[in-house]
Amino acid sequence: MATAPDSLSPALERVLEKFAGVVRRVCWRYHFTGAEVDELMQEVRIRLWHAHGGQERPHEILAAIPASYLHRTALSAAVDLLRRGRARRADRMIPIDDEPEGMAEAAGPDLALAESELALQVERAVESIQPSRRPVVRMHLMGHPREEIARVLGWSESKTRNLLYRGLADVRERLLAEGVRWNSPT
Amino acid sequence: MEQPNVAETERLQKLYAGRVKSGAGSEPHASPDAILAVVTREGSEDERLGTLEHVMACAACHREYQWLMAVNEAGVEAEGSAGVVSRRPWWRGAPMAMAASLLAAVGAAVVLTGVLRTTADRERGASSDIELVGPGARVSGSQPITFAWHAAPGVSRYVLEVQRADGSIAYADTTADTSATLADASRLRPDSTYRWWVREVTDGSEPRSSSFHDLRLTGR
Repeated sequence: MATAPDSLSPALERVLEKFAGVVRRVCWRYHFTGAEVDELMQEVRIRLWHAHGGQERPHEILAAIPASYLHRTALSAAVDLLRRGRARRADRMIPIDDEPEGMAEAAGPDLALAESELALQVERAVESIQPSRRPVVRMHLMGHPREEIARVLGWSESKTRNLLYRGLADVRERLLAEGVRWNSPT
Repeated sequence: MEQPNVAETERLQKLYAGRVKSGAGSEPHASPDAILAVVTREGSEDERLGTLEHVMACAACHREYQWLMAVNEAGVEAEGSAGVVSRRPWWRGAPMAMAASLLAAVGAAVVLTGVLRTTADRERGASSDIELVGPGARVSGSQPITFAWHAAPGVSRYVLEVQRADGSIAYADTTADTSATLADASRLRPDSTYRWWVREVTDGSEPRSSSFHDLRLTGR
């Protein structure tokens, strides 16, 4: 028979408290606000209770849950939250700095248009480079550090650097061919 | 090789990221599972690169990538602070009782109705929903190795994994076919013990899988 949620709650909270602290700290670094983390932790809480509330001595089981289990439970819950968000077409995970920086809103209409056209040229230039170099270049241009790119792709630092630099050189060459000069006003 | 000019790169970044974040992304979007595969480095590199290229050009998918990166990083940190070294994916080697909980907890509504899922004792790789065909337990280390299995109803894609004795992954591939060939057998060490298995690719539900088969390479 399942233990009543009320009596299980303190054990659950003890397990989750430390983990939630780490999740909040890391998610903050990624600019996710508290609401998304709260929703995630609630989902993890439900899953743990659901999985172990019906077992004998659930307090002991919950107290012994390894961090690796919390890790995979959180990842699974995070994916489900994404699915639900897509299903209801409500973007509930808005990073704090999600707004485009300083382009149109800080510039006059003419300058904004020029920036927009230049941005389109950059996109076309990226699109034109070798496929093997494109993902690395796109990651870099989205602001991801080289170390992260290497880690995510499972590549060595030198391979990552090589593809990135060559890809950026390709982009620059393409832009130069189109008459884009960086040291001149746009 | 010439190092990119910093100011120029920053300018490129601002233009590119501004364009992506302004909503110039394109559909179809990458699936949450595909993005998760990038974050956890599962599946083939080609697939992950394809997903990554879309993610880095689509504001919506990029937010989801950042979200999963954050959760994964938190999990890794939590494991580290708990003294856990292993970074094995959630489904790998986990007792069925734990994995079943992920499947069971579909939503709060189910929980509130008090429908509790019972746990099972069997281990991953002990099931045989997918039947393996070959190779046998001993193969030559000087030739490509072809892994084959019988098709399972309704499965569109399979993941093949060759694990070392400690459970770490020596080789993995994702395919829609019922076979996969490891062309370069030198990726496996001769006279070392491996085991291999196949599971289906799912949208997050409990995947069907094969049992584990032993594999040992003879000298080259």
